[in-house]
Amino acid sequence: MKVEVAGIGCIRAGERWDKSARDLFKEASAKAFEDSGLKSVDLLIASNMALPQYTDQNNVGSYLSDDSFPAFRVESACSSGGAALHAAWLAIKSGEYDSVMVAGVEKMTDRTTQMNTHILAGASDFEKEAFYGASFVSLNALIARRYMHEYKAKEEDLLLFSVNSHKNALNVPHAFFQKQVSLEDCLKSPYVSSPLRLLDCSPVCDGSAAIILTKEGLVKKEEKITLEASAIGQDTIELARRPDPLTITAGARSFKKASAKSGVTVRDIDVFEVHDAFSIMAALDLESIGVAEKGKGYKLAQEGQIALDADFPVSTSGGLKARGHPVGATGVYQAYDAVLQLRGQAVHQVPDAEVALCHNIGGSGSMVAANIFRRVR
Amino acid sequence: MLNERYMIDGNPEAKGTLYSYTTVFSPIHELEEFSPYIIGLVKLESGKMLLAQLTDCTEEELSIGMEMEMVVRKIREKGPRGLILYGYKFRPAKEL
Amino acid sequence: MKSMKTKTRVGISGYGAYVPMYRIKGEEIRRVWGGKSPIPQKSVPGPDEDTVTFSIEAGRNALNRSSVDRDDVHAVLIGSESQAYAVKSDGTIVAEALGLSHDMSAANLEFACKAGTEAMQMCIGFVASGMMKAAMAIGADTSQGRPADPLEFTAGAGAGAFIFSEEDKNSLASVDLSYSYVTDTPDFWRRQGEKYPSHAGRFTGEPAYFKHVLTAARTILEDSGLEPREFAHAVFHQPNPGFVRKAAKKLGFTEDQIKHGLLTPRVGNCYAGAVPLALTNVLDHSSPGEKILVASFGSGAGSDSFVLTVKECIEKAKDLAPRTEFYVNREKFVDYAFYARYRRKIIR
Repeated sequence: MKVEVAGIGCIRAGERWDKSARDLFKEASAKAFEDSGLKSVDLLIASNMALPQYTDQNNVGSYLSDDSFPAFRVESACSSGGAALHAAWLAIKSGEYDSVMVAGVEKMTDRTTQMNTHILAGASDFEKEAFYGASFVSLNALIARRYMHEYKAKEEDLLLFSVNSHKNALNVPHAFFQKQVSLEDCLKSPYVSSPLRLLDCSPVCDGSAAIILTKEGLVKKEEKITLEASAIGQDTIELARRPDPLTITAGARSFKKASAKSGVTVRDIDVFEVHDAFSIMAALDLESIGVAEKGKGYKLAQEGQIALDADFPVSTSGGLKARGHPVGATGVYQAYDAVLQLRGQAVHQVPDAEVALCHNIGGSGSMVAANIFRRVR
Repeated sequence: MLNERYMIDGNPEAKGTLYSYTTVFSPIHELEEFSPYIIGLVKLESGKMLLAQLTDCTEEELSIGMEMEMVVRKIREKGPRGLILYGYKFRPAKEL
Repeated sequence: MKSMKTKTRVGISGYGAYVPMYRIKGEEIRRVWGGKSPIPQKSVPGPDEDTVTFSIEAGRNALNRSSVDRDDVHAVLIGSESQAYAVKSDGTIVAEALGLSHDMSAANLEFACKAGTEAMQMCIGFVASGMMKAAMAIGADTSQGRPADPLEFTAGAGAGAFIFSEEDKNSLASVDLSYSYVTDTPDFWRRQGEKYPSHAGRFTGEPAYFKHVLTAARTILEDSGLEPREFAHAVFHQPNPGFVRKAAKKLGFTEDQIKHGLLTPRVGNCYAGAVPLALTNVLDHSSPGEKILVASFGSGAGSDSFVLTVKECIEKAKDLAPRTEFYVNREKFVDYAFYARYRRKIIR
């Protein structure tokens, strides 16, 4: 029995000073309901990383749903969205639920930059990493510096991923940034944690995205889009304990499982919504999927292979870098962008997109959720 | 466990080589007074790798593969009334 | 005889030093506040360093030079004017960080600049009485000097650690005699809760430093039956080089005898760490059979004096840990802004 996409909705990620997390969810979920034609769902699985730290609110499922439908939160740091999709997939596949809404929400702008740094460090191993001063960016910077040393990559090579993301966000109504950046702009931006610069890193912002998944046939749609396969791959939480810190083994594992379940290979994928929270992550994510050989991921942007009309279109609505990265909601935004492409409704459309991969990385690579969507003719 | 911070696997004089490093310009809470500071990944003689702050050096003085040695320094203070938390850091190994 | 002689002979079985790498020039402080520095430069602790971290490194160096079994060390007494906490002994942290036993005595000691040598006296007592096989005494300080006060030119940072045990063939030096002389003299003090000490200017000279140092030194010399010329080295408390030279002259010691024990011109006055640190440098430069006179000074006031004899094993111990000169020569100069930041003189 297949899991189908009945509806999607999201709000533009940004600094929504006037809206609470609940307001953001209401907006996004209303759009998803409208898109699906459904009035309600059997279950709400909320994905969110840090509402308790950002707004002191625990009990997130109930906070969002109230008494509308059964609800609980799924959390796995930056891959909360992908994990929530996985949970919904399981709920429907089990036969227990006919319709499940997966809604991601994150409210990051009610805290200062310093507090954000502190809260985001919770995605790392706090005891072994953040305690000693490692901010989340700095973990990626450690990886970037070593990667550049071993594979002779340069800062420019990695920054081209950011350039690509911004280009794909132009005129996209739900993208946070709608401004192109040039490589020169990127190289002028200050270091946040050397060698990563401001423009290597995705922004702090508020956001909410929702997707309604149902059992096969529940809702009649023009385009039949399925969540073909969903899988989770795992690795150590502490970066130093990975046999090779420059490989996202969790990503290789998640993709391998999803690929085996769906029969989809790298060559079959038309749209790659990868985890470009940091430019280095995008390159490594693509290596873990098998788009590039180990150590060669950085060349993909340089060689034009990730452009919309190339073999491996990446971050087609701007990705985490330009569309935005409201952390716990990101995995659901990836699904939103994937479904738009498969419906032929994206602003920057990949011609005849049939299969889309959403790859959502939690922490510095501790857990990755792979979700493959397919348009069925 | 407090002990774990004063030694690395029971060794108070651990040594290793520098795998990678970065200067953190956006500090973690309670480390603002040290900003900007440097953290690194050190590959220990035992084969294990560890993340630690690097002290007594500037980024310019560091290079991948450099010999590093462990010291115990102040990691953070829980405010003016709270505890002072000490733990391991690494510095470039002394050339004697 | 006033000097203290132990029934069981005690020796120094290990010694270790630590000085932070940062320095500030006297000229730089003068640029900001005017005045005149009696020394060219002083040492500055880094932002992540304090008396505890100094003591851990100096203590580790002492353990590496010593042949005692780590598990036989049952005291870590740290003398300082800049303990990490007003209440919670530095020794509790240092003993744990050095991997020593929990069967331990570990109080903080205070007696201004002679807190370190007080720790030495007590450790000698612990060992001589048979209460324990080995005891560690540390003098460590990050020293406070009020901005714009002359003390700011000289308040330096450093530490010296010593492990005492019963004198045997492995001892690096023997403790022949020691003495402590104390009076109620208000030359320099710091009230509870105050960040910087207060002092009585010129009163810190004759009635304080000289009275106590000379008394303690003369008493022990008389009790030892030795003449100054029979000593290879003399170490005095060193708030500035002038005081040391004057005391040496009055007692009959030459420039040659005091040179290895005078570090203030390179690292400043390390308060409770000053004499211990200087003694480690003397030991680095000593030879078996040589005699060393030590006379510290603590405001308030008092002086501890010691007569030590260097033993055979000193030679092979010297390079079992970084020599004091290694730390003294490791210099990175900072300007007054960074100095004020590292010394937390900037309100945040």
